[in-house]
Amino acid sequence: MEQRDVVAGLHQMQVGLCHPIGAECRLISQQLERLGMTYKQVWPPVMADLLSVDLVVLAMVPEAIIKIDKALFQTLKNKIIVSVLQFESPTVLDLACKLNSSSLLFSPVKPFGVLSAIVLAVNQHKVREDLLKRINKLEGRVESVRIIEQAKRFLMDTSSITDTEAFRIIRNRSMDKRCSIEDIAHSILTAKDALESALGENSPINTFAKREPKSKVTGSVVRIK
Amino acid sequence: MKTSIPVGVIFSQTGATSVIEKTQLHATLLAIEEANNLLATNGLEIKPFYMDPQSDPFLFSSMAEKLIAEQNVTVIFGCYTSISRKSVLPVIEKHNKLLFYPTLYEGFEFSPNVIYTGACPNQNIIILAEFMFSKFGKNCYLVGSDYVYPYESNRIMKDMVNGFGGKIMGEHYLSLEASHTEFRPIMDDIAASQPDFIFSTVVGSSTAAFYESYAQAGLQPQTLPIASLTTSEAELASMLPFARADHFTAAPFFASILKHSPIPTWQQLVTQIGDVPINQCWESAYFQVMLFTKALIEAQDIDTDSLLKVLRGMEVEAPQGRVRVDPDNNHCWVYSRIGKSRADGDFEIVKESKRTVRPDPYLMSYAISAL
Repeated sequence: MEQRDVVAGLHQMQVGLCHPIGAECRLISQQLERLGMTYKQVWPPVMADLLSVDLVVLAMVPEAIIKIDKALFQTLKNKIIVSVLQFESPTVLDLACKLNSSSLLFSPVKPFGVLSAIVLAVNQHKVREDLLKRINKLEGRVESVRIIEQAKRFLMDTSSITDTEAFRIIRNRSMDKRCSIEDIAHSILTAKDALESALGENSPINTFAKREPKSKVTGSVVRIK
Repeated sequence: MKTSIPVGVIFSQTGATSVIEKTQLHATLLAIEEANNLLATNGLEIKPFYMDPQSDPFLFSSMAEKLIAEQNVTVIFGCYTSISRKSVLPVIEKHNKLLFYPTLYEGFEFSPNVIYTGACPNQNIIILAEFMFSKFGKNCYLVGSDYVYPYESNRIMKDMVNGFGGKIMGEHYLSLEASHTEFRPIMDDIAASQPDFIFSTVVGSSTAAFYESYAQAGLQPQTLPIASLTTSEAELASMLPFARADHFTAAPFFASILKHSPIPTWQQLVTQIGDVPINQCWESAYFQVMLFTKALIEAQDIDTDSLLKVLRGMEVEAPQGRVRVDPDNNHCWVYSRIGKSRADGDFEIVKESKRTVRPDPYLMSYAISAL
């Protein structure tokens, strides 16, 4: 996403301004209004007020943040967090990190810098979300490769065929059945498990594996399913 | 005709931290009085404008603002808690004025507009932990007031305990006004869990309640003492005598140094002080006026930049010994000492550094192996 889009998208965002009432809170809220953002002020942070917001401007008052319960902490972690720091000490920085703060403001906050901190946070959050989605997808893919690999190995062991042939069998079957290669691999493995538990010692894996390698018995193997 | 130099003085006379702030106020006004004798020959006179923020951090900042606007002060002496300092800081920086801060604190700060004259963690916690570990053991119970200074101090103590293979047996935070009732269950837990020592970062008026609850619970300081960075002569004076003795505090200064000093100036000072419970914060408040006075004479000017130029690296003969403002981080080179408390309200010094220790507010060179 280009930076221009981030700024343009700010108007649709709901902001939770978690900051004790006072001059600085007022300054931030006025700046949010200038930026055309809708916000609600809440202190100390309360779950009910923060569920619907997208972005939280959060004053890192250590004695208040430390008392946040697990559920609220988890909720906050998934929001876009801009932390407002008054102390630059390890405990405070640690809390800001544990909450996945995407950017920081420094007390005393000036109007200049609020927009930048918000834009940076929105962008950082988006980058992180995109990466997480990608990681999830890749993890799924790794799992599917693992299943296909196991199914192929089973076919190869039971029918003495090559890697390429085993794959071709699975792929052809998936085209016939109009389902994914992974689904076919999965059903082969389910069948393998069923056979093994039904036959025990006489499982085809054990018997077939002892045989001399034979060529091309593809047809019969596919029928296992 | 003397030129009058207006300075601001902000210390609480009432509220949770007034026990210690009153002594800082006393030291500041006393030191200004003495400075004026010295400055008279230069045709100068320091004129203090005092305000009482009543231990309310927000009053500190509005009072700093007022002193600068109405009395045209260049310099403010004041603040005890970190929150009060943080509230004055933006005011000082905005107007490019100077704050002399006479209190030990958690470090992790540098403002070019502040001269820090109390100890930072590398000057007190490290020596205290090392001493307690070797004398009593490494299993530690943490009790503190509920704000940033105790959190940060405990963080360092936990690091050291873990690094030396000890265990943290408990950790509690209470309000600055906590009473005996709130400390009682903690004492029961301490009695049950039997740590080797208690590390207290209890601050302010609750300190007396904490030590008294300890004594009432029948805990024995000979085997399970309280170690602290903030329990000074002022706090001992505020508690009942039966609760005072045989605990440990690390600080750059103890009143007994002054009371037993062979130096005539200090002997005379002791008689002037009377029964004010002088302590490490009193001493920082005292010698920071000495620093300012010397800077005034050297700079021959009252603007912040001229003063800062001469203050960086400046040394004075303080009651604790010769101290120096570090030219890089504005904190002071001070002594590391450990005092053992006595029933009469004084401390007996049981360990001290040979020289002043370099201030390291960001604990950059701190490593357990360096001990």
